[in-house]
Amino acid sequence: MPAFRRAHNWPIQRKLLLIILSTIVVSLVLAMAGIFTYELVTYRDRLAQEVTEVGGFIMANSAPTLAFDDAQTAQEILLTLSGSPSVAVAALYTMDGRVFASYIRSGQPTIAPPPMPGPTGTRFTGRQLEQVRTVHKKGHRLGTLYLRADTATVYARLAGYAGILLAVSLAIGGGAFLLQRLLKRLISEPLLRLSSMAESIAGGDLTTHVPVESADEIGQLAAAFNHMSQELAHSYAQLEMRVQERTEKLTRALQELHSETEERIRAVEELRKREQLLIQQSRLAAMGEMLANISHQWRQPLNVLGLKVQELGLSYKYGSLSEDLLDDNIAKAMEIIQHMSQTITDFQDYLTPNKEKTEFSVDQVIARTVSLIKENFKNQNIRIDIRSTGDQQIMGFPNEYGQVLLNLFMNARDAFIERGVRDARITVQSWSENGKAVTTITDNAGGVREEILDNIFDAYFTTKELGKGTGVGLFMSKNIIEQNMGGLLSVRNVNGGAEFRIEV
Amino acid sequence: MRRVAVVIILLLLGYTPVHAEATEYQVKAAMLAHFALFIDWPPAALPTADSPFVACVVGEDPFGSWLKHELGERVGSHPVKIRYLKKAEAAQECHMIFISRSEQGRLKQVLASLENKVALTVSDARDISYFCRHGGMIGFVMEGRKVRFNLNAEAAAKAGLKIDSKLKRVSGSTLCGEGR
Repeated sequence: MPAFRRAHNWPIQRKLLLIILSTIVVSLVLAMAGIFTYELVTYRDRLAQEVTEVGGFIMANSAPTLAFDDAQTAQEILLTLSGSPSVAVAALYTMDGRVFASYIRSGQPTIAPPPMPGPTGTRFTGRQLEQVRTVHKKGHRLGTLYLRADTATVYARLAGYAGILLAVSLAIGGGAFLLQRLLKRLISEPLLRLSSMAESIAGGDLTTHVPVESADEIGQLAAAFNHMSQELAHSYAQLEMRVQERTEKLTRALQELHSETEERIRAVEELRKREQLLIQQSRLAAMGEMLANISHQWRQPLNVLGLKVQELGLSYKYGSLSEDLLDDNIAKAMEIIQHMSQTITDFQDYLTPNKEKTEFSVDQVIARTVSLIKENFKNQNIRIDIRSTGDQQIMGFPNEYGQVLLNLFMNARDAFIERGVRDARITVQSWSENGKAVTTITDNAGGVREEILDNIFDAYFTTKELGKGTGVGLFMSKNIIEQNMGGLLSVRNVNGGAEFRIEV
Repeated sequence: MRRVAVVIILLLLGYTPVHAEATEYQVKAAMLAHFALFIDWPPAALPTADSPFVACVVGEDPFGSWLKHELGERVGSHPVKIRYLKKAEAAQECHMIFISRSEQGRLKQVLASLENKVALTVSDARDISYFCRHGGMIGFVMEGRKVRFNLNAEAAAKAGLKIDSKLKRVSGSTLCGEGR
């Protein structure tokens, strides 16, 4: 099918021409084939009929010439056969079988008539027809007519048809040429113009315009193209306008976004600064707390130390100062001083944040934290119970963890003071649950009000009197447990108090 | 080419013996018989299909047995009868009358006596134009050794006979007795 595929790419006018030409040629060929077949099939019958008619005429006219022995007239009569080109040879015979007159078609070599006519009748021999008939008048036999015809006329006629076919073919060829020119002018060229217009539209030239020359399909197409290009130009302009509008909007939005972002950054910066400040404040507050705790821790040892120093003075005054007493008191004083120094070291350690995650014992941190505040809390009649089931070792920052505990203890103490709770008690429990170290700090200070239970871990949220709380403690605690150590800090109310739960 | 064909035909004719043994009267008898083929008589003369066709010879009979031989049994569907008459007045039923040369001296009277008859008159009298002028219809003439005939078509038509146009074509003249 490559030929067909090649024809597929032909210009329309060539295809149309091909269709028209092939139709004409096929009909011509069919018509000629029909004529030729008809001629070849019927020529025998028609030849026989023609010869019979011609023979009848010759017999009627030649009868008297035979009767009256007028060979010259008979000859003249036979010469009229030149009007019947299919008859090649003719002869008249007398009753005794002599050739009376004969005729041989001129222009063609052919054989002479037979000396004897042979039996009457019509016979075909090859492509020739022979007819022998008796010439008679009123039942009286006068002689014999011999006629021989051939298919020359058929072939002459077929040659004529072939000539016509050739002439018609030439005419069709000329017509086809003119038709092609016409088709090219009427179809191909307008289509090519449309095509190039489409090309230039595709190339972006929307001002392209093709002249509408006719009202036919191509003209309609051209009009449609013009309309399309106008519409395109219109939509394109609109589109550009909209793009411009949108671009401006976007630019504005971007600017707004920029300024908003700057503002945000500024706000965040401010927030960070404030946070920083808060942390600083809370640290200072914690230091204050520490100082308070240290002062509590130191009160009793200082008293003891004072007593020991006074004892030394008094015993000297009353002469009871012995070497033993001096040594004993100095040793005691040194022990107390040692203890106080240790207290400062403890607080120092406590206030220094750990730099790296280390494995530590939850119970140790609990014990150390409680030891820091024990004296202070005792003075305020707050009891601390520690219940531990198994020592939990966890990874994290032990000082931060201790800070969280401290913060929770301080909150509980503040609640006790604020609400004037008697028999104030804090229970610290620690155990292992699902591979996690769980620590709960439970008080009996009446619990957190339900409506603020969700907010107490928010930054700057405080229920304390102005100047007392910063609203940073629980927020910082939650940060330490959840952000720094990947744990969980939650709160709930349990019978008559709040329970803070730390899971790490 | 036509001339060549004619030459061939003439050569063919030349090789065949022409009337070699046929005597003059044998030819004339045959011609008489053939006249009957190309001439139609009015229905009144031959009312039925088997009405006899009567051929008559007036005067001395020059044909002998040839006439009977040439005419045969029938002309068309009509049985043939031949009568030999001494006098033309006796030619009552004749369809065709041959007037012998023996009647040459009395031609005018003979023809006059046959004037109102529906009969074809034929003769080989020496002066055929004289014969025709007095109502004779076909006259034999000799062209060399060949027997030809002249027609007096007008007289035949006057008698009610219809002559085949093709017969006229082979006759020497259809205006026998006129124009001379």
